Amino acid sequence: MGEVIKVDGVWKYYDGRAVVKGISLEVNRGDRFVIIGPSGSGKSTLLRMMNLLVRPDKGKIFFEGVELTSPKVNPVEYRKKIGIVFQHYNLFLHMTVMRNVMFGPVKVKGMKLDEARKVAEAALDSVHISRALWDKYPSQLSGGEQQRVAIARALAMEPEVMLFDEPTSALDPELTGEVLQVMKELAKKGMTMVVVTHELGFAASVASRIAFIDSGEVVEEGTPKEILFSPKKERTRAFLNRMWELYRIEPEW
Amino acid sequence: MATMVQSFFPYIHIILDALWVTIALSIAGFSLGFGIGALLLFLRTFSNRVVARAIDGFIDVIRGIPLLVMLFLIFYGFPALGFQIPNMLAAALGMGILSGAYQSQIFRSLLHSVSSSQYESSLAIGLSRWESFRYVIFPQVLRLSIPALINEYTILLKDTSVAYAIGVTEMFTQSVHVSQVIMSFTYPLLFVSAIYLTICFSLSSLANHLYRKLSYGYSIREHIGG
Repeated sequence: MGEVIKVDGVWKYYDGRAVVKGISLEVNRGDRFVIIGPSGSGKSTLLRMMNLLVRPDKGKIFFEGVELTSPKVNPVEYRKKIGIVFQHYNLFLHMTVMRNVMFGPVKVKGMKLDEARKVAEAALDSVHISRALWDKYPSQLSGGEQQRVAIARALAMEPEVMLFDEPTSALDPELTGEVLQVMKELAKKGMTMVVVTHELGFAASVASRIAFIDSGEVVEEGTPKEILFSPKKERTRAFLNRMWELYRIEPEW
Repeated sequence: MATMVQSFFPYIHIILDALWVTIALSIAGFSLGFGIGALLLFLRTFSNRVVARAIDGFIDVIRGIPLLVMLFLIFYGFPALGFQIPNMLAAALGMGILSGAYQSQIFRSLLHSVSSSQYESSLAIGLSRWESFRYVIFPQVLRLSIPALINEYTILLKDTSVAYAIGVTEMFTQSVHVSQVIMSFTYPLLFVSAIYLTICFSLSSLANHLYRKLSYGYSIREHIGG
């Protein structure tokens, strides 16, 4: 149905060391594109390049056909259409839950307060944050609740695509479920999603496509079945072996 | 002794009447300093290395100037350039510039307490750099700065007495005038000291109270079990 995000041969260097080495990929409308790979493989950097929070040193990023990396394009205009959820929630600490979610619609979209409140209420309901929490501050919430509010904050902007940067890595195991559940519901509603995660169970059940990234390169890309259960590359197999070990699942190969 | 106190009483209202000058001057200096401090913080945070260096240099120079010298520079320096400047304005300007340098240092030290991820997430939502600073970063810096700002204000309040040297009729100046009339410095100076002390002590207590309240629930005490 047409591409939403296109990453075209991007490179990123930190202190002269390449962390992303010429990655290209396309995310189409309705895709649940999951990126897996070891820590430090450049997954987060790649994700942050999709909304130009990190500017690539080489290569191009397109959003709905517009080249964000072009010097003529102001990425600020496009970021509001690209929601992002961070590992550490990053809620605005000086605002209540409700104000966190209303903030974007009011300040960025110029929405009226009562209108923004309705949008925010709908977003908070969709991530199952109860009314009792709306006037609390982030520090008064559990990690799982904070992350769901962070999802609501991104949803309130009515984005075309949602980026998730290891959204459950900072959570206690018993809290990851509630966040993954919200993400699954989002996927079911047809949201285009790019998810960096170590949750292979989530990847297996939700992803439409999976890319395995290692040392700044896409090693292998394909359907969940192809990547998770019959990977062709030795590096993918080695990584998945270690991961499945955690789940105590015997691989098929 | 008793007669000296008695001879002081009729003049108390002269000193008290000048209290509002002291307060007005300290508030003017503080507000100007606040604006300068916030501006320096913004410029320093979002400018390139050269501008940041220049701002640091400017702050170092300003902080090296004693208040009295600063007031003389402005009050006697401006007329040399062809502008007459009222002494109250000169005092507010001098105090404001100095306090601006100090306040920018307060903000800067607390900027490090605000996580860079707060900035990242405000950019991600579609805010410009200025909007991120204005709505997300600075309010958090400000909140954490409140106790230090209150202390900075108490310093300014006492420093208004230096404006005596350029003839501003603030509270201390009036106490000197009264002393000269009754030919004793003891009671007028003890009296103004008590007023300074009362205001500063109340504000310091408030600052200490706020230190504990404003830390977003993250407190070192909780971690070390104090």
